[in-house]
Formats: sequence, C-alpha cells, structure tokens
Amino acid sequence: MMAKRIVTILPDLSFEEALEVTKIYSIIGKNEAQGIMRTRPFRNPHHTISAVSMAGGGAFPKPGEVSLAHHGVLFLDELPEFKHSSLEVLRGPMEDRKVSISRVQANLTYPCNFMLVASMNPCPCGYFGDKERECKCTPSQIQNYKNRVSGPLLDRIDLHIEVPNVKFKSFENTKEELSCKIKERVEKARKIQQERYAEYGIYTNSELTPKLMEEFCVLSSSSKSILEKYFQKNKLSARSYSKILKIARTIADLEGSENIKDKHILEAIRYRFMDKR
Amino acid sequence: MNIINYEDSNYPLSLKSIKDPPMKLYYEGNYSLVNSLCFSIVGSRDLTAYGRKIEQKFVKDLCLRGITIVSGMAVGADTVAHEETLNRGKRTIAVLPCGFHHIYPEQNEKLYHQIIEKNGLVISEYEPNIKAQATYFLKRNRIIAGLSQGVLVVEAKHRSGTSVTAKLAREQGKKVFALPGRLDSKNGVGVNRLIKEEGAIMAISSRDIVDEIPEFQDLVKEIPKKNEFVKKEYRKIYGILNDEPVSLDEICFRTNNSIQATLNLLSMMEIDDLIEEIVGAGYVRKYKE
Repeated sequence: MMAKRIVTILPDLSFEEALEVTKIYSIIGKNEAQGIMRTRPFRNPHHTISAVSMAGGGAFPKPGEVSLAHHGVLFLDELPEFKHSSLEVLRGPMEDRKVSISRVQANLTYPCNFMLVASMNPCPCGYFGDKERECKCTPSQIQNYKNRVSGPLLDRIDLHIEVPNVKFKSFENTKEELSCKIKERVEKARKIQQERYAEYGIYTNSELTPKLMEEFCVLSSSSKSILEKYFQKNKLSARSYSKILKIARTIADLEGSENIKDKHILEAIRYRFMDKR
Repeated sequence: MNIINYEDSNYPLSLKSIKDPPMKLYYEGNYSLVNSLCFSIVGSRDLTAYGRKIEQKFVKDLCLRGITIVSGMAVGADTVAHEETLNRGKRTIAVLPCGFHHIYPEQNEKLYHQIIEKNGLVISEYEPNIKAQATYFLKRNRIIAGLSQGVLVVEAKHRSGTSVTAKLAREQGKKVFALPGRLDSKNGVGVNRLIKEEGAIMAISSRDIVDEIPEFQDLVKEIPKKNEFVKKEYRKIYGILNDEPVSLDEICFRTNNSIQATLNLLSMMEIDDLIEEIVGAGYVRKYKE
C-alpha cells in the first residue's frame, strides 16, 4: 500500500513524458485513459513473472513490465520470491534506461526509465526482530533468503529502509503528512537539480557521473573524516561510496542546502544498511 | 601447519586421558596454549541478543583471569567466544571439525586468520584436505571438552549438538555449567534441561565457575579499563538501547526526535563504536565494559 503511494509524491508528467507513456500503452492496447495518459504508471507484477515478460518480447516484441513502468514505478513485492532470471534481467535496463529486444521479425528498443521499488521480509518466516513472536529461522536459512537477491542488483538500489510491524505505527500516528505536501518538497528538490545540471544534459542526482560528482558533491573535511571512519569500520566498496554521496546530495537538495553537510552524510549512511550484510 | 602424533612427548596431556584420543593433531598458531588452563564455551548457532551479551560477559571475566577460552569456531556462540577473547587481547583455541584447507564455516575464515595472528591456536584432528561432515562436529566436541577444565553451555535448543558436548564433558569427568535460559525462547530449553535433569551447574556469574574448579581459584582477575564516557548528546538514545534490538521508529517515538536527527545520531554512535545495527531488526548497544 505504501509503495502504491509513491507515484502520488512524484512530480507530474511533463507533456513529452506523458506522450511516451501513452505510446507504450497504446502498443499493447491498454490505454485506459482514452487520450493522453497523465498519471505516472504503477506496475506491480506478480513474482511468478518470467524474464521475457519483465524485459519485453514475443515474436513481434512487445514492451515488458520495465517499459510499462516507464516514467513511473515498478514495484516488486516479496523480492526474493522472484525468479533469479527475471531479476537479473533488470540490471541492464536499470542502468541504461532503455531495453533492446531482438527477435526474428524486429529489433526494437523501448525506453524504460522507471523507479524500482521492492520489498522483502527480513527472514523466511517474517518474524526476525519482532518483539512479539520468535523467529523460527536458522542463520543459514536467513542468509540463503537474503542471498536470493544478488549483490549487483542490491547495489543498484539506492535506499534501503526498514519498516517495522504495523503495531508500532499505531503509537506514532501523530505526524502524518499528506502526499501533496511531500510532493511540493520533491518538486522543489527536482527543480534545484534541473537548474544545477541544465548545461550537463542530465536531470537528477542519480545520473551524476564520477566527474560531475567531483564538482557537485564536495565534502567538508569533517564529512570526509566521518565517511572515512565509516568505511574503514564496515569495509565498503567504492560503489557504495558514490551511492552515499548521491543520497547525501539529494538530502541536501530536499533541505535546500547548497553544500553537503555532515548531517546529510550521517543520514545517507543509514539508508545503505544492506551494504553491510 | 604442524603435526603432533600421539606418541610425541609434547602431545597434550589433557587429551591423553580421554576416551578415543585423536591419533594425530594438526595445528596452526601458538601450540603452548594446550598446556595452559583452558575452559570451553559452547552454545547455539543462532544465539539470541541476550545470550550474546551474557556470553560476552562470562568470556570477559574468564579470559581476564588468564584462562584460555576453547570453542569450535562455528557461527553464533563459538564465534562470540573467540572474538570476545581476541578483542581483549587474550588467548583462545579453536578446534575445527574439518581440515585446514576447507575451513568451516566459510564465513569464519577471517576469524581463523585472526586467531592465528593474535597468538591463538587452531587445531584439528583431520587431514588438511578433509571437508567438514555432520559426524565430525560431534567428534571434535570431545577434543573441546578434553582440553578444558570445564564447559559452559550458553544457549541450546532441545536435543542440540551442544547438549552432546555437555554429555561428553561429563563422561570425561569435567564440570558442566549452563547459563539459565529464557523460558520464552527455544534457545532456553536445552540449557534449562541440562540444569534440571542432567546435573549441570547453573552459572549466574563467573564466580560460580571459578569456585567449582580448583585450578582457577588462585587466578587473579585483571582489571579492565573503565567504561568510556558517553557523550551528552548520545545519552538519550543510549539509554533506550539495550541488548534487544530497538527499531528506528521506536527510538524516534521514545526520544521524541525527528527521524533525521535520530539517523544522524545513530550514524555517529555507530562510528564511535557504541551501538550496532542488526539488519532487519534494529539497534543494540555494543556491549563493553
């Protein structure tokens, strides 16, 4: 339910984006808007999905789920239950934002600039870390369950967030925020990014190249030493380093801060806990 | 890697007296440890956070008396025993259920190197190219018990391998101790049964162990350094955390802080080595004294 709400906090589709989405849906004859599609698509394929329907295919290639989620959200519930092949097929499209499909009758390239949202339990029985019920899983079962999601795929997921059982939610219902309020913040941050990157041909922090990061993700010496200590402690890779920088850049943008400060780095670190596994 | 035969003069005396002693011992590291005063600590693979905390306390108390801690380098309780001893710069012996070329479990290969580097000892009765097998786990437990003056069981499920170690130790005439287990946890069943039905001595503090083993009584405990000062801004969160994982939402709720401020503090506390994140469960204090 929470994942479904993500489209409501994303900025509205621009006219060009809306056209692209509409075109894709027209190809498969599923344009229910009967005109131009104005809402961002939300796709949540079941975990039994095949690699072909994920990426797109058929004798005359049709767009797959990745393309149907273009400019929208692809939500994979119970990530470890998906077939290995269906998940690994995501890696290229996530990186390139497009997918090329070759069949006998046609070679087609569909766009697939989607946001991946995935959920999983902490262990097979689902009670790991639960206060009320004891987890029945052995350490090796838990490890196997986590290992079903490959490291490279996990690496490409920017934010890792723990969601406790709903019980805890009941006592913190004081601070609910409306989607439209959040959306305002998102739009503000997006605007800052668009202006900043206007001359570089990119729109968001996630698209930053290592070279551009040197320019736009400058750290103070205290932030550097925080990161250094954290990395030594947890033995992380260079890839997670650049992820943390980009996340910190986004947190700073959301706050409207021009520079990345210590607090942004400290917050960003917490969103990468799966790196430590 | 070195080899000791049963006939050799430096074959450990403690092993000569047990039933079915190993004919050959392969070892790596500080061999003189086999003649030191040893005590073994074994327990469940999926140790609870509580078990981990209490085990660390016992290991600390014993190793600071100069007692060598023996265990099996399995995940869970064994790993905690070795790591805690090494962290305090003390000596530990790991007895493997496999040959040296196939360290089991794989994820403890790092620990294996650490034990050797830090003046500990790793031994095995198996030839280097032999892989671990189910029966070997039970067999190596007789060596763990054999080397030691006594065995402490931290947590165990009903009918676990740990209980078998306790039985082997008793047959060798060694004292068996067990920590009282939690009644609401599967990991408490085995230890409580050992105490109730099989004559294990209930250990509430390391005193209980030291008092029962004559060889340990004259050992003087080294006084560890005082607890580090916890910074003022950390105290609120530190006070909430304990050995049971607390989720981020609950920390925010109880400190009445924003999620950003809490995340910031948690990162700083983690970097300062005060807390630990248990992925999927929450945060716990890093236990030290």
